[in-house]
Amino acid sequence: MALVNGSRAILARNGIRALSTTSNVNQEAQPKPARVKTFEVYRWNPEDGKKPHMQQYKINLNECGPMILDALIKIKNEMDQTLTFRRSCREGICGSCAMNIGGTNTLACISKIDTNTSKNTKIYPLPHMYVLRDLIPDMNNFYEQYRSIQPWLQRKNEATEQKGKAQYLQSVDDRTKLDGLYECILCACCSTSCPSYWWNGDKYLGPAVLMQAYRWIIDSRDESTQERLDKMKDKFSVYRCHTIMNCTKTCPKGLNPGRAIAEVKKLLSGLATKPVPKMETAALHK
Amino acid sequence: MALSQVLRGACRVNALALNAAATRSFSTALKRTVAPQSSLRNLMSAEFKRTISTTPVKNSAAGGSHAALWTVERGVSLGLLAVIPGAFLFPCQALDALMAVSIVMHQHWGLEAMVTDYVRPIVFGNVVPKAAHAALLLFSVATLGGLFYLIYNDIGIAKSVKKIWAIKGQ
Repeated sequence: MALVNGSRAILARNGIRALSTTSNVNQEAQPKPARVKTFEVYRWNPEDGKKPHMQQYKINLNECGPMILDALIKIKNEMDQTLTFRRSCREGICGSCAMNIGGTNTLACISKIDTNTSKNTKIYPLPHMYVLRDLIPDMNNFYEQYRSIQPWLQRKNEATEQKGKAQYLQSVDDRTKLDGLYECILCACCSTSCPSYWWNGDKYLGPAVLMQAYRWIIDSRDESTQERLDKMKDKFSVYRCHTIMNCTKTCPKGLNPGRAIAEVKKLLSGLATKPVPKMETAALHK
Repeated sequence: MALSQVLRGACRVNALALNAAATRSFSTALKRTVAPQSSLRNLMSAEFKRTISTTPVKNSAAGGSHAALWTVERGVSLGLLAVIPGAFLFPCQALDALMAVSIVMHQHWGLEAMVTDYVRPIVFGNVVPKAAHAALLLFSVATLGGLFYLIYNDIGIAKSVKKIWAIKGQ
């Protein structure tokens, strides 16, 4: 199966290369019919005093890369330099280009353009966020909430465990518990798809931050588990989650924040307890 | 010290490209650097105020623990799966009362979550949410009172429902 997939990938790659080398010849021989796709993009400039509006851009898909981000960059480069959006890695690992595309929160760089040219593709900023300009939301509250869960490893007796002196040990099983949690890139797609976060984003931490909270709570090396849980036991931080599961549905990385929040609730209620580390974490510090 | 504070504040204002009024107050502030520090502070707080923040002030979450209540809520939800069929299989006042209490608790917590979610201080101010919670409490108490009236002065909940289903069309 892996072999089949691998060979298919090679075929596809060769195909693209073949396309790029022969396309000039082909176009001269018989030009492809233009595939003009209309993009409707949310525009708002805080400085011109006008209300937000949707602006249409028509792009020939034959002259554009396959992803939404390619279209946006093409618009900015060739049609309208005032269009503003965040982007960085163009491969779904930085989380900068999170936006609402065709009604779904996702990353522009890893979502393909719908090639059905009879339908417009609508692009909005992340929903229910304060917009700074065009597709750029204000992420300060989100980052502040992330800061509030103290996303770093915390040990109790740092006097005997000199930092950087030796590694902390973690069994393979304990490490496996972090899979599906550490991959989060904090693009905020999940948090901004959550109605609870829309209504109470000032007090409810939201799926992305809660999943990271769980990532540190369940880490076998972390010793601040109880303090972390105590900080979240109030009515709002966690318990505004009503398992709507928009977070899990929309996550562009395929993670499951809904499950992580459920695990946090189980730990908070005492229905589950954090397992004892399978290895002695600070053994190398002795 | 005071001068450096003013300069730092002024630089920030300039860097943020605020309106001309702020820049004007910068120049007046420079002229007045000989004034006592307290009046300078007043001046700064009055005129060197950042006005472009678009981030809402983060309100600290409410105190107290919600964990126990959450556990009880799940327990009651689970219990209803047994209590409701039980009350209908063996209609009696005790099981009717148990069903009435657990159903009212269940619906009260459900509605309370809705009130907390939608009638929130950030939109309605400080008074309306409290009034909404009080109204909900009143509604739940009235519901429970009505159900108990049905149980102790009439035929009871389970039998009433059965009676409704027993009505045949003419």
